[in-house]
Amino acid sequence: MLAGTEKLDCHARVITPENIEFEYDLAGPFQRLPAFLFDVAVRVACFLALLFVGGMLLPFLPLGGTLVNVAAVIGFFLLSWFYGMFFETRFNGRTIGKMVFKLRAISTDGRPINASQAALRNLLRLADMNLLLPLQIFSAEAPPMYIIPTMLVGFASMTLTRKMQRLGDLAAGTMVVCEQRRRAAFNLQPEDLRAYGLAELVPVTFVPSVTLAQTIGLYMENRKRLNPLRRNDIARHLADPLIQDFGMLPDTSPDLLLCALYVRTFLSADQQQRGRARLRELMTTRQPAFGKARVTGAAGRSASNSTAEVVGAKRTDEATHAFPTRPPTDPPPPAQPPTDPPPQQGLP
Amino acid sequence: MQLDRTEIVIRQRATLELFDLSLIVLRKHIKSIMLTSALLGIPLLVVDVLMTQWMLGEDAYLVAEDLESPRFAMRSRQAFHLIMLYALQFPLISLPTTVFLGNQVFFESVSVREIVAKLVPIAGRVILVLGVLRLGLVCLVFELFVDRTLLWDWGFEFWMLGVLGFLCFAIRAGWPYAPEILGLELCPLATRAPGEISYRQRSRGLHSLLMADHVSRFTGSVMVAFLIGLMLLAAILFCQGTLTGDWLWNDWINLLALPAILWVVGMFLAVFRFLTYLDTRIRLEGWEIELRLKAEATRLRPAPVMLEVGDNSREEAVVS
Repeated sequence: MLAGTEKLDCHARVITPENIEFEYDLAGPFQRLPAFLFDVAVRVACFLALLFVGGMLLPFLPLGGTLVNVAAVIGFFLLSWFYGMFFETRFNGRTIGKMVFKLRAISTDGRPINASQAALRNLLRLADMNLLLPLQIFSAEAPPMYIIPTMLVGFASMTLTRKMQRLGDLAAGTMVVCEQRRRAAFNLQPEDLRAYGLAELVPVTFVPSVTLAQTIGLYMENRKRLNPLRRNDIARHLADPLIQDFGMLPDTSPDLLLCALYVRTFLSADQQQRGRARLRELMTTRQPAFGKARVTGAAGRSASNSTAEVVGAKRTDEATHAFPTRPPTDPPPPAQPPTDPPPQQGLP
Repeated sequence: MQLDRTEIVIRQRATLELFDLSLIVLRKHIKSIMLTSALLGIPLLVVDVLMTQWMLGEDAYLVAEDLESPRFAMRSRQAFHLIMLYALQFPLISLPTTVFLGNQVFFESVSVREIVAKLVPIAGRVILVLGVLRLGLVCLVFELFVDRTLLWDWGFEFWMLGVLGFLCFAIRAGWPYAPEILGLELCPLATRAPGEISYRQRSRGLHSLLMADHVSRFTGSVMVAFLIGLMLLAAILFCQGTLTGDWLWNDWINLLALPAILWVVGMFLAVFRFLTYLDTRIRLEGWEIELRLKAEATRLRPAPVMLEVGDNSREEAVVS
């Protein structure tokens, strides 16, 4: 990476002693806030439950109210100081709130946190809750009790550190990460079988560069969330120069061409063969829709040529554009209505 | 401009992640963001304070002295006016920051002078949309007409500044990206050339499909702004209390601390809105894919990647 071109994201990279690099999604103050509030709610609920049980047992206890008061104080103390410590040690860096919101505290070197780290980061929570304001902010006559937390120290610490660590995290060598939620890339199959036919028309001499292959993969992974108009709009940027280079008809569908490039680049020869076989099968079963193709196919051309004509990409003697842009087997387009294309001026 | 080289990683994000990312962007470009947000922010805040400071004066005290706590009422009134004015002016104030971030996202640093040069040609439409239609400057006119002899002027304080202001916020919640459309995409108010997209068309395309998302993000940003504002106010009260022993709200908080807090919160919100704008374009238009495809097309343009091959075998291909 060039100097001064650091990419900004909520990410932390960890390189293990074995020189293996892991990337974690960091959780900053705003992603942690719901989990923190959830934990506070759980602690309050536990304390209230303790009081309720104590109240129910009051008539049966020898020391009555005194024992309940002592139990309440001990319960409050334990919940305040040991709740996070216990859960993070027992459940691999997760409290109940973190489990619900899919967060986890881990060591900065990527390992699970141990008991001492969990203890340290939870004991230092009080420091992160500073500055504490006194009750005097409401009235000059109020006692000088500093009990209103502002969380400013923790917030500032998380804002200023690269791994978004509060003071407790800095002391314990931990950070909070989001559990992996990104789906892994998988082998996509274009739903439009004509892509297999068009793939045959891509010159055999064409070998996509690494970045081009990545871009085509990214396009295929995401194209389904875009409406068909927008797909073509986006794909045109890359497809237009390629159509020219490949000598295809200018009105070849840009989306289909990128699908064809995906087929050529990412699918095995066997998969491509199967796709073409399915396309031929479809052509024979759907005669009305593929009528022209059948006619040209029957004129003694090879199977690959006839599939190419279905695609409508190579100029042939017959009119190849009598076919619908999408075969009838296509799934309906996403519910998203078409959007206006973004303007060409200003921000690209 | 290399389109696939962006400073901010372009991908879909959840709202809470965008808040966190706003902090990272703010930390990275704090000086530039302070400078650009001060460009319109400081002059307008000074005007706001000057226009509302009479509410803390002796004349206002005489009007409010029958109340149980007149000072508290006066300070609350001035704070309400100041917050409303700043909130209404915020799209206008955040425009230079938006222009800065829009260029910075492609590693193209622009100076304040360049930002001003970019804004001057579009000043007319910006003033019309953000200053007049969204009340950014009109609210100052409302402020001039507030009756100073009344404890509470229902006409201008309640209906014009309060109700109309909140209506304006409701519109902003659903159509938040007017500064980005005007300042970054440079859409004109009316189309003159074929193929040009007007502000209205672009706004409809960008906002209508994700309206619920926009409203929820706006609500979330208001809540977060409130929290950050409270945190900063607490810090100021803490400093005041420890230094002077006086922990209570004073006039100087209204006149100095509150405008400073609004300015800081505004910087954060400007960054957040820009990031949500990027996210909206990613969700709606596949912007991240478009950038990559455009960049690849640019690389292909000079010489397409064609290889010489022998015997139809790709394995034997040699770079020509």
